[in-house]
Amino acid sequence: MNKIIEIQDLKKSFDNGKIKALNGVDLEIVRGEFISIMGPSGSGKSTLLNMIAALDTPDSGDILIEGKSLLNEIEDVASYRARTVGFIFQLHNLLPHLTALENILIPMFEVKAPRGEKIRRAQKLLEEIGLEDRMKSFPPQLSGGERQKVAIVRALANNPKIVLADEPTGNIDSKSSRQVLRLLKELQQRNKVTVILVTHDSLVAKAGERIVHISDGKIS
Amino acid sequence: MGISIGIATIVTLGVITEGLKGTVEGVLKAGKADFSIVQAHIADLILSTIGEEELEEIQKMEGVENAVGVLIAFAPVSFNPYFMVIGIDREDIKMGGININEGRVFKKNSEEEIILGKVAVKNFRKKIGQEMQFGPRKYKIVGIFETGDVFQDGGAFLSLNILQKLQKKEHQVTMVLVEVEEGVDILQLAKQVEKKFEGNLIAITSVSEFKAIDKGLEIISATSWAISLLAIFIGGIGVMNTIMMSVFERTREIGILRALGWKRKRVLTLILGESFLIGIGAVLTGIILGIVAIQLILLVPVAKSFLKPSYSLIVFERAILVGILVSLMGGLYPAYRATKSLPTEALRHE
Repeated sequence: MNKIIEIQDLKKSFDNGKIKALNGVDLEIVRGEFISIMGPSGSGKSTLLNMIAALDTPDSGDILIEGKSLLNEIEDVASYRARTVGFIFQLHNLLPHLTALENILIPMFEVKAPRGEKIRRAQKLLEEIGLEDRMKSFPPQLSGGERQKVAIVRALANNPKIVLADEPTGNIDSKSSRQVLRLLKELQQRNKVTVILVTHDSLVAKAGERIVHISDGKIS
Repeated sequence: MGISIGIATIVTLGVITEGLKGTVEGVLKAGKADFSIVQAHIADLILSTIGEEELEEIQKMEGVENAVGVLIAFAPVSFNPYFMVIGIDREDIKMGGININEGRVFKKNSEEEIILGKVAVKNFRKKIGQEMQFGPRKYKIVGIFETGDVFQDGGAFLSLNILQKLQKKEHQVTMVLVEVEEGVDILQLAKQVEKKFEGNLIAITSVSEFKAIDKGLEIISATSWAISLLAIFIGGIGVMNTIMMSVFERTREIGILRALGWKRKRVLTLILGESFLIGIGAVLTGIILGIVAIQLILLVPVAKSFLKPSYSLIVFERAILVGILVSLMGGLYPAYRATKSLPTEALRHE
């Protein structure tokens, strides 16, 4: 099996050790897999996702990405965040003063390519999700579902190997939620990316090929 | 707006201070005069006293083309407590750099005639033929003059011996205006004058030299510097606070950019670039506000009598420099703090 992520005894606590968010997590994820990590609120699932995205650092343990330690061997963390992973936030986190197209261009700033080429790619991504007529719209002008779709293609802007989705359907209606999950599934199959979805909703978790449960900072 | 007000304060005070310096320079370097001579060790120009014998000695000095004595006095007239009255001989009018715009020069030794400056005409709404009172008696306005110096143009000229009598300063002048012969080194001659009078008289070739002997101007200069520094400080704090608040409010946005792979350097460049643009915008608005404030100040007649705003480059350079520097400093700290922390911490910021 071709492992893309290997999490080894990962621990993380907050508030001077009073809150143990991750209490020795071990997990292996195969390349191209769609995995759902399910758990109740406060179980540590978002913390785990933040660690994989290098948005936060663990107290101990390690995360291997394609065999390389994220903590010790991957030096250019910004480049890792921009190219290797794509992050979809629960609250879309689009910049409100930028258009949908400009929001997709944000991660592309760290990639060396002609601007025209980047714009064409962003336009193509928006066309793929049927939002070609919303390119120049600002986030407040988009519906909740549309905003989340833009956030998804932004995560795919640099063709990442891993897409991390933190409760991507948490703030949208059920119809939009189904569309978002379908989109994630399609992108995973078409682009052969590894998708890690974190949710507390068992119905949403079913979108994954494999479901792992997390509670009290441990994979059960 | 906070930034612009700070810059406007710097501009207004700077323009006024430079204007005051220019006014003094105008008095000292009147007309054809290459330099002026005043009494040494005095607290204020008005207290300077030079005797007629000394004036004659100066006139006889080698290299001196012409030396003219003038007596300066102040008298309260209407709203202006410092109406400037200058006594000069009729034939020395040209040397004093006085151009008659209208009418004629006062007659020699005339006790009744004066010529009034262009600014004073406007301020007191006077015409040729009308009378004007200062001191115990009335004078007839026979001409309107212009020197280009707002302080002098806000006053009047009359016959030297008449003013000497009025001021009880017979055979005395306040200062001597010297014109040097062609090819003569001005500074060299100025030094010779000082040597000749053994330090009792001082030759002034620039405003900075004048400041060294006139404590009044020194006080104005020091006060204006203190006010300018205060303006820069208060303005600077205002600018910095505005920028800092706006960058702090964007901590979450900085977190998003970092989470999406932006390098720390790129985020800092973006924030500082924006701070720079805000600074430029505020400087431009502040300069406009400052100029408007000066125009409003000039609506006050007493201010108009001795204040000619000097829009010199240094004032604007200072405002631009302060505006941009404090904007960058204001942006740097919160941006540095936001980029230094982990993206998750910045993302938690509301």
